[in-house]
Formats: sequence, C-alpha cells, structure tokens
Amino acid sequence: MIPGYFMKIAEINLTTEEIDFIILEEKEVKKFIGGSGIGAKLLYGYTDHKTDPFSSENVLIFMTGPLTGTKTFSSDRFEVITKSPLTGIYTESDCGGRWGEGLKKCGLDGIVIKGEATKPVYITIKDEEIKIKSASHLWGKDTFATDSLIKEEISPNSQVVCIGKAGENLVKFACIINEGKHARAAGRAGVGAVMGSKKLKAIGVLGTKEVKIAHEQEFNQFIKGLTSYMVDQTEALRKYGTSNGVEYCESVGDLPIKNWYQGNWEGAKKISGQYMAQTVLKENYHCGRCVIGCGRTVEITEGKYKIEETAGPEYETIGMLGSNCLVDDIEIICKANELCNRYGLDTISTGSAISFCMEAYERGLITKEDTGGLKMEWGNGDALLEMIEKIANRQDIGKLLGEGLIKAAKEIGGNSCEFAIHVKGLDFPAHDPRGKVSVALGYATSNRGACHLQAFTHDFEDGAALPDLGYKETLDRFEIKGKAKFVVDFQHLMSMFDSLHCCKFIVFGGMTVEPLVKVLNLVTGWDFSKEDFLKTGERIFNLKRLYNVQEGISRKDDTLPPRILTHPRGGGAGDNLPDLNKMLNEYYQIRGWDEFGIPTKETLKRLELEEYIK
Amino acid sequence: MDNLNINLKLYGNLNKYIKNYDHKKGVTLRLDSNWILIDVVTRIGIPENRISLILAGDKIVSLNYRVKNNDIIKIFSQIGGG
Repeated sequence: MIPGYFMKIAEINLTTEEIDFIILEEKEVKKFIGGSGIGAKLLYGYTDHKTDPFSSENVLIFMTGPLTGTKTFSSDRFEVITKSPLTGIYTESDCGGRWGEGLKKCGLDGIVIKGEATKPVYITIKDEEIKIKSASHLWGKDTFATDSLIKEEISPNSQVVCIGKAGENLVKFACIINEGKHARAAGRAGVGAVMGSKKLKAIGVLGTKEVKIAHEQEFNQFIKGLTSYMVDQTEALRKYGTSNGVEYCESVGDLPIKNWYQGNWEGAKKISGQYMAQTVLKENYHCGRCVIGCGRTVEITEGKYKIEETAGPEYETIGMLGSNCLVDDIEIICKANELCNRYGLDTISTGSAISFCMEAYERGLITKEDTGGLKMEWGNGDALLEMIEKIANRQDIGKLLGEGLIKAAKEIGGNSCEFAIHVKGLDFPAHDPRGKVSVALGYATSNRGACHLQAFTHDFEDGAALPDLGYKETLDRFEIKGKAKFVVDFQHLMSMFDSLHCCKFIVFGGMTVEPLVKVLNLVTGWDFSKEDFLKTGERIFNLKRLYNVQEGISRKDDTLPPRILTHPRGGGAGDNLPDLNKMLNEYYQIRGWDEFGIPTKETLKRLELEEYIK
Repeated sequence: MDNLNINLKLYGNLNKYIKNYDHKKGVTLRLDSNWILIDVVTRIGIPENRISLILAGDKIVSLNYRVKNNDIIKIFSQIGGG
C-alpha cells in the first residue's frame, strides 16, 4: 500500500444492492493523484456522451486525496464527480467540512455510486461494513434534520453528506450538504440532483483507520513549522470570512450587481464581512484540520428573519443572493442562505436564477401570473425568500428556474438569452470578467462551465503574488498580454489542489507550489519534482477536457454571455471588455490544443494520455 | 510636537508598497504624535480599497485610529472571495 492511500474504492450498486471494490494501482494513482483526478478517470470509464445524467447509467463519485486524513492544513475535504444534469458535461464539486476524513478513516479513498434505488435509501459505512438502508423516515426532511437523525443512529462522531428537498425534486442545481447546520456544500452543477435521481438521501461514515505517512516525523515538523505563518497571514479571512473583500470587489468592478448590469452599488458596505462581524456573526467555523476558520456561524435572535445558530453566507452567496439581486439586508441574505442549505440548493445558481427572474420581470417577459403572485422587483428580499421555496418545491416559475438558465431563457423567450449569465449552462459565480480579464478566460475554459475555482486567478491577478509559480508581482487586471499562460499555470496548480485534496485558501498562508510538492512527497514517499507536479495537474486538466470533447464541447462553447462581452459595466471596471478571442487563441496554443480547442495527439502523448487518443 | 515609533506589518500583496519589505521585521516608522492611520496609509501609498482589516496589537481598528508609541500595526489586504 502506498502511504497516503488505502488503494481502495467501494463501488456500491443501488440497483442490485451489490458492493464491490476497485483496487487502485500505483501507476494510475501517481498519474492522477486522487480527488477529481482519479474521479475524472473513473467517470470517463463509466459514462459516455449517451449517458443521461439522471439515468441509472450515470455514476456519482465521492473522492478523497492522499492528503485527506493527514495533518495537512484544511485537508479533510472531498470531491464529488459526476455528469452534470445542469450542463450535460463533466462536473466536479469540492466540499469542506469533515466528511472526507470520515470516509478515509473507513479505509476507503472513494466511493462510486452506481445504478438507482427503487425506493429512497441511505448508506452507512462503518469501517469495512457498508449497508444500504431504507430512507423512508428521512425522505422529505431538510439537510439539518437528516444530518442529526443519522448521527443519532450511527454516532455523534460520524460524518454525514445528504441532500434536501431540492435534490429529491431533481432541481438541476441541487447540492450535497455536509456538517448539518454548519452546512458545507458540494455546491455546483447539480451533484445533489444526481444523488436525488438515484434516490440516495445520505451517506453516513464512521471509521477508525489511520492514514499512513511515509516520512511522518519530517512531515509533522514541516506542518508545525508552517502553522504560525499560516495563522498570521490569514487573519483577514478569520476575522471577516470570505466576504472580507466585498467592498473591494465592488470598487474594482468584480462584485456582480443587478444581474451583472450595474457598475457601482452603495449597498455593498451593508453586506460585507466587516458589517456581518458587527451584526449577525456569532463565531468562526473551521473545517477539519483548518487553522484559518473563514467559515461564519451566524445567529439572528429576533425579528422577521430570525434564525438559530447556523452557517453564515460566504462571499459567493452574498454576491449572488445579495448584490446581484440588489438585496442589501444582511439578515435576509442570512435567511436565504439558511433556506438554500436546508433545501440543499447551490446558493450561486439560486442567486443567479433569481436575478435572471428579476430582470425578466422588469422587462415584462414574465408577470405576477408566472411568479405565483410575487413581485420580483429588484431588492425585494421577501420575494427572493419565497422564490427560493418555489425553486426547491418546483412551484410556479420556480419549476422552470430549477431547470437552469439555458432552459429558462429558451422558454421565457424575448431577449432573455442576452441576460442569462452562464458558461456551458453553469451560472457565473460572483466575480466579473470585466473587472479582471483572466477571469474571462478562466470561466470560458473551465471544465465545468463558469467556475472561479478551476483557475482561481481572481485573487492573484490583482492581489497576492505566487513567486514559486512564476508570478512575483501583481498584474495589470485589464491587460490581456500574458494572461493565457497565467490562466494555464493556475489551472494546473488548482487541478492538483482538487486532486490532493485540500482547501485552496491555504495558498495564502504559505502552502504554495513547492511546499505542496514537499508535503505530497513526505506523505507518499514519492519524489515528484515541481515540474512533475504541475505536469500532473496539466494531465488531469486535459483528461477532463477530453471527457467534454466526447460530449461535443469545442471552441464554440468556450465563450461568455453577450452582456459580459459587449456591455461595459462602468464603476471599477470602467469600459473594459475582455478580448476573449485573442486570449483563447494564445491559450489553445500554449495548451497544445488545435484551433477548435481539442487536445492534439502530440499533447496527449506528452501527457501520457495515449489511451485516450481516438 | 512629540514623536513616536510604530512597527508596521503588511499582509497579502500590500508589501509591494514598501521597497525591500521584510515581513519578519516589519517596518519601524517614526511619526508625529497626532498622526492617524489614514495619514500612514496615504504616505505609503496604499489605496484604501485594498485594505480589509487593520489590527493595532490584537484589536481591530479603523483608518481613523490615532497611533500610539510602540504600536504594532498590521494591515491586511482583502483575500478569498471564493
């Protein structure tokens, strides 16, 4: 067995109720590492372009990485990989919390869920013992209650992932929640809907096994040596959470405002992390092995939007359910966040759907008759809360919105395609490509649609430096020169984060490229160089692209919505519009992809992906 | 007017505003006693919108904070947003 791994993935077939095990080989583990790397390889093997995401042929893969369950900072996470019902292509969704460690301690690197149950079920895994049980008492319950009930049954120390009613109802951007009321989400692209289509309500895990480390003493010393620096550097995240930069983002034209139409907005200061700290914040939340603590725990003790202690909104939630809908009341955003978490809805896509709905309402493309009587006016927080209920329960126009922006725009008609803000069907997260041009290329080329995390350049283009990736200084955020390579380099690094598997925020605390390589080698006993490490990230990124190529994805899909390419938002972004085509040409060239965005044979050979040459 | 000393530490990308900045040592500044933090930030050239958090010792303060002798001031840029 290779240290850092158990070399074993459980394959659970919900149709036959058979359980099998995949034994991993060192050669493939070294090539694809874990997390979304091995997940993408598995998905490629199980599914193809004919696979309907909601059919029993689709698989739902939960993966950990070699760092999961070790003392590496923020490494108790996990990744969910599947074919997305929202986009119809590859998707992955990363989740914090503690479930990843819980699964690994059962002696498993991952689970593949195959088939579909005829009636609702949940799975319990206690070390080697895997059971499929009736979930008739859990179906219909929200994620907080489901988490509590399974913990009561297994152990308070167990970890649970589950779906809420949105997943049960196949809302195409339903998510999977971990940690109950502290709600960490595998949020994006409908992984919770795939779970719902398999009638799988939850997976509870409780294990006792320890992950072996090749060079344990040196590893422990290395992590210990970095800890105080990590704590020191990340104070802003600890004090104010991911929304510490809301006002900054508004000032530079990064924060979405009024469905990506407006440049500035006074309301930003009322929804910032700094404002939250003075009002609704109760304490920090830390994922497993995390010394940063960017999570927010909030409580509203009185008034119309009263909520008990629960997870508070992150930056993305604040941007999409707040500024993008012109809602400037932090209590309403907290309430909206809580509702989404209980129902198991992705807060990014939910905010995107509602802001789209508000614009369609303003333009007269839909009326109160469509919305069940709701006045979907900008800033109407109460209507926003009710619309969340309608999306989760598939009522009125909520049913259509829950199908995703492409279908909603097609049915609503008019010019609504112009303001449906997505790439490949996945709604934009809360960073504007007009404020930072690398984000344009990152969204257009991300393997799951508009994603800020596959490149994660928004914090580095106009922020922190990353010298060991070759970026010593802040770049000009409007200049396209050099940005293709910048995005490519970051995509390789982030592919490794998603495979190893740990939180990307540790990069701000000193866990940059070289320390990550060192940690991987200390844990596994391998001898990766920095070049090997980044080439592995490149291989993984290309494999995901290949999956999408077989789905018909090419240059025609690597684009951005018309509003982002043609409408200057003003404010901190001024009249800047990203010249996507120019960047894309250079990007394909650097990647060794042809003019249509398809990896060439030579590239696949260089990356040791010969078996995928067609 | 009396003078006072403060030690300034910059986080994230803010270190670029002081040449040859050494984070272990920070920077010691000698200031007039009537200075408030916004004067310090303006003098160094850090744009206000880049700042997400300021600590004087362990206490959160604003740009209107009147610096005291031997203060350790930590200024953080925004990070995260993801």
